[in-house]
Order: sequence, then structure tokens, then C-alpha cells
Amino acid sequence: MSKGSQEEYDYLYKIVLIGDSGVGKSNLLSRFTRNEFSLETKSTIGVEFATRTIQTEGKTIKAQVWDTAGQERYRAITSAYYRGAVGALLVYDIAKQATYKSVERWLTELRENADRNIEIMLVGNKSDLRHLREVSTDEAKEFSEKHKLTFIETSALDSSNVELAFQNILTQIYHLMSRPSHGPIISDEPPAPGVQIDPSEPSSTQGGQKSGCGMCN
Amino acid sequence: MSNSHSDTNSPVKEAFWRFSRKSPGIAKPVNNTHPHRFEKFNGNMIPNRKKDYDSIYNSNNSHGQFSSHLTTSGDSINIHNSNIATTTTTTTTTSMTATTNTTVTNITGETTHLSISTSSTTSLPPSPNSLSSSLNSSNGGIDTSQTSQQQNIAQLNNNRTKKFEKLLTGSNVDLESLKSLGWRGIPDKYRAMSWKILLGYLPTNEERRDEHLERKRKEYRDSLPQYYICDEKKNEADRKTLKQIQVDVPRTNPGVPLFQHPKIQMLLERILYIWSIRHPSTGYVQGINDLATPFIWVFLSEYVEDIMCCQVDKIESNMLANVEADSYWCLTKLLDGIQDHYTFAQPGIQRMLAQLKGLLEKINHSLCAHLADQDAQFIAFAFRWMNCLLMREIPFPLVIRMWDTYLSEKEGFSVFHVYVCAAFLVLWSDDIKQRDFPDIMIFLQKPPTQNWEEREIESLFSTAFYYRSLYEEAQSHLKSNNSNNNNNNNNNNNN
Repeated sequence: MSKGSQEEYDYLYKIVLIGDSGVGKSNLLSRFTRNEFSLETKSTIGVEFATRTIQTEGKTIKAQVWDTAGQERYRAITSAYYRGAVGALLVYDIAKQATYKSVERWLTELRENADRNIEIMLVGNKSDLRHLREVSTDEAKEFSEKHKLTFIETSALDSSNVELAFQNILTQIYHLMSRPSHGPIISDEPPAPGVQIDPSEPSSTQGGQKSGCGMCN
Repeated sequence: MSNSHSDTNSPVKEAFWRFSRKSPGIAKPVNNTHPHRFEKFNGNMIPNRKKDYDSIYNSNNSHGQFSSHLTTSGDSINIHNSNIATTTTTTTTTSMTATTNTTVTNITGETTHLSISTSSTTSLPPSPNSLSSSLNSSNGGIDTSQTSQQQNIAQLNNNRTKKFEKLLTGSNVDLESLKSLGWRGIPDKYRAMSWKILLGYLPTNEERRDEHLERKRKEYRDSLPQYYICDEKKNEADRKTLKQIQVDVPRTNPGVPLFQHPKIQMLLERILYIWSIRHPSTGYVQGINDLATPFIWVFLSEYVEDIMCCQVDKIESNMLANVEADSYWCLTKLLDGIQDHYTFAQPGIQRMLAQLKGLLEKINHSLCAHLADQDAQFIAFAFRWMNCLLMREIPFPLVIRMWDTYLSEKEGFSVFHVYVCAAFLVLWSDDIKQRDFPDIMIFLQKPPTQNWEEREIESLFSTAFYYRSLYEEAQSHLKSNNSNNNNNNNNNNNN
């Protein structure tokens, strides 16, 4: 384990992973950050955290990803982590209709607790379970167009589209932040407990490294 | 943290190793190069003998406590002996035997927990389990000295087991004596009964036990139809609860094969569902599934010769039914004491986190300042420690050992646990201080405890005990309101 994440980066973006319990959020995170997958993943309690740095359009972007517990009882704890996040992966399980039905409730959650301009990507995970599919790709696509979300289907198990999903949302955030007309993604409220990063200003967590100034052009 | 596996001849480290070992007779392993320091044995994680003692030394030493043990302890550890060998030599044998004698004295005398002085840690008798695991860990050929040490260990084991036997076979168990004895670990053979008595599930009076058990087991059986009614007849909240439980049961303790058996999974599912619908103010909360597993494991071990390789299919169904009912009631007793950990917004956990922070500010201000400087908030890294009582951070067999102590404490799971968490955090102080925010989080999400053995738990507990001795008064205003809840709930449940 490295001591001190001293690598250089141009931007630091905070992303949250949300969605019902058991849809594979933790495995999406471990696949993206460590290229690992486990069928024996324990339930996430509260929040878990991981980082990865990627390159996009010649820029180095460091993603701080917060994986949240899916159960409702933890919402009081986890929703505090939405604030300051510039992106959210809203995950459902393509083989479980009920987890797709919850998507609207999760969107409401985000609207109530997250920053106004948060970039949201709808992610249909477990695409390897073709024979058990309960949510059609077209239906989910239509839903995301209606709600102005981006959409992708992934499989943390066989890796398909996981890299692409994170790459896409981080690139979109980069584009959004680089647009001169774009207003700052800053919540009016004071920072919630546990929120470490405001992308629009240098964070104390960066230890004097190059600032992740999301608003720079 | 140093990951060096190499042996060191540093006398201090060597002495620490022998100190921390507490159980005599086993030399520090010479060859620490094996990359897999945990071995699968009958599918269960068994710590092997290839330990990184240096790392333990380094992290413990960060708060200076253990070095003072070395100089102030009454036993014969000699930190100035620069010739202490890394294998079982006459030198090490002599001092280890002396340690044994010290311990024998303590074991045969009526000792209570720990005294406040730092040297007292060394007077903790080795638990029977750590002794037996040490016996198995002999590294190399058995010479005469090892044999005699093993005889000593066997004697110690025997004495301790006899004490439990004497205590538990009487017509009335003295609860205070059981707590005092159980604090340092309970022999496998007496654990199930001890836990049931310590939790107040089994009456201390022997005459009442059979009747009581029969009644409680029947009561549980009678509640099962609530589980078996078809889904359509359940209300929506209950259906949702069951669904959540069904998502979590297969991923409960995945490293322990027992919990992968369909019969055990069904048993766990029923326990959790019945508990949830009977406690609607809390309901099922993820993490409660973890808390049920030690009971199932320990109570099942009453009926099988070796729980490590038990074949569930061969266990008679009435025995499994007893395990299920007993586990249900004991889980209920445990949760009654910590119910506000799981109610809306989890105030019990928030309070414990505040206590932990307050405690750390006193114990290790610079660590606290570093965490604050990095904006690493207690709720972010220690929430799970409270919610799952460190069960996600500590290997399962050691969790069982931890519960011996927690159950022997007055408010082990709510009050003493905070001191244990403080000791746990301070243990990694040096590692944490070298890291920035992301790495602190990643480190603390998976602290290097995979190779821990009982002595690490015992060190942790003695440090926690020491902290409590020093800071209990200052923390008293933070003492949980649980004691009231506890009493109320216990009263309700004793009906």
C-alpha cells in the first residue's frame, strides 16, 4: 500500500455510487479501482472509499469514488456524501426489476441532497446475466433520455463497460466544468460531515498538491 | 507499516515478541517468507505461524505503552539481553518458563481483570485457546525444553478448564465469578453455556434451566408461522424486510463455509426476519446479520465434535432447531442493549463516534490533529467499527474470543467497545500519520489484521482496559443511555 497519494493530477472529482442493495455497486468500484471482482462481497456499511486516476483528453483526472450502502436505514448517513459530488452512478440490476423501479426514488434523493448540476449516469449492472434479464435495454434507455441521464449497461463480473462507464462520466464532468458558461457546482449549504472535496476549490485533503480546480478553463 | 517479514535480532523486539506472546514455549518463527500467512483449514481461516512481529512491535510502540511494559513488568523478560536467539534456545526457554511460573501463580490465584498499572498486562493469564493454538504452532522439532513447556501449558489449560467446570456445574452459577473468569477468554467447551448465562438467557440456577429453555424454544417455534405465511399475506414493509434479508444472508460471513450451507442460511434468514418483525422500531438493518453469526457458530459447536469441519446435513433437525431458537434469543438480548445503534439515524452509533473522538483527543492528540488536518472524519472510517462491532475488521475466530470479554463486561458492546476502538485506532497511529486523506481511508477500511491471533486481541483489550481506567470518569457524561434501555428491554424480555 502506498503511503500518500502523491501522484500529480489536473482535476479531482468526487463521484458517488448509489442504488439499491445488492446491485453490485461495490464490485463496480473494485473493478474500476483495483480490477478486482468477488462473488463474496459483504454488504457495504455506511460508505466506502476508493480512488483512481485516469487520463482524458490530455488531462489527468483523479476520481474519488464513494460507494454507499444501499439500505434505506443508512440514507441519513450516506446522503451527506452526495454534497460536493460532481457525478453519480445510479446503479440497478438488469436481472431485478425492483431495483430498476427504485431508480426514480434515487433520483429524488439526489435532487434533494446533491448539488444542482451533478452529472448522473444510469448504470444497468450485471449485463452478464442475459438469461435472467428483467429490464430491457430500450426501456432503460428511454427512461434516461426522458430524465436527461446518460446510460450504460455494465458487468463488473466480466468487466464489460466498467472502464467505459467511469471514463465517460469523468469526461462529461470535465467538459461540463470546462464550459465557460457553466455555473459553479457549489452547494448553498455548509459542507456535510464526511464531505471531503469541493471540486471548485483546493481541498485540504490534497496536501498542497496541484489543485483539482474544476472550474478552470 | 513495515511489511518486512525478516527476523530481527533486536533485543527489544525479541523481548516484545515474547512479552506479547504471553503464552510460553514457542520460539519466534525463523522463516517468515511464506507469502500466505493465513491458511485454509477445513475451509476456515486459521492463522498460521508466520507472523510479522516487527509490525506489531512498531505499531504498539507508537504510544509507548508496551515499551514500558517491558521495563516494568514483574516477569523475567530481559530487554537488555542482546543475545536472545531467534530460535528456541536455552536463553529463551529459561525466561519463558519463568513467565509461565508467573502466570501459573496468577491463574491459580483469584485474579480480577486487570489492575491499572501498565505492568499488569503481563499478569493476564493466557487464554486456553491461545495456549492450545500455540501448542499446535511448534515450529520445528520438539526438544526436552519444549516438551516441558508444553506440559506447563497443558497444565495451565487444565487448571483453567477445571475452574470453568467447577463454576458451571454447581447448582447456582456465580455470575460475577463467571464474568471475572470469562473476561480473559472462555474454553470452547464451556463457551455456549457461559454466553447464555452471561447474556441472561439461561438462568444461573440450574434447576430452572431445562424448563426455561424448553419454554423459550417453544416460544420461538410458535413465532415461526409468521415467517412461513405466504408473501401475499405479508404486509409491504415485511415483504421488503424479507427481501433485504435475503439479499444479505448469502453474503454474510462468506469466508466461513458454515454460513454458506443452505440450512444455516435458512436458519439465519428466519432468525433475522422474526427479530425484525418483532422489533418494528428498529427493523432489520444491514450488519445485524453479522451479529447473529457468532451465536450460531458457538451454539452449534455444542452439538458437533468439531465445529471447524462440521457437516450440517448430519446434524439432527431438533438440534438445529435448538441452535436457531437459542441464537434468536441471544441475538435479541444483545440487540436490546444496543437498540439505538440501529434506529433511525442511528443515534447510538453517533454517540459512540463522539466518544471515540473525545477519547482519542486525550490519548493521542497528535493523531487526532492529523486526522482533523486531513479532514478524515470519524464517521467516515469508524462508522462500520461501531455498526458491526469490529466484526468486519477482525478475523471471525477472534471475534468469538472478543465476545467472551464483551459479554463479561457490564456494557461491553456499547461502552467498552469504544475503548477497544480507541486502542485499535492508536495501534495504527504511525501508519495513519504518514498518510494523507485518501490513503488513511483506504488503510482503515482494511487494516492489516488478517494474521492476528489471540495475543493481539488480548493486547488490544488490555490497552482498552488501561484507557478506561484512565479516562472513564472524564467520559462518564458520555456513558450510554443504553443502561436504561437495557434494563427496560431486559425486563420486557424476561417476561
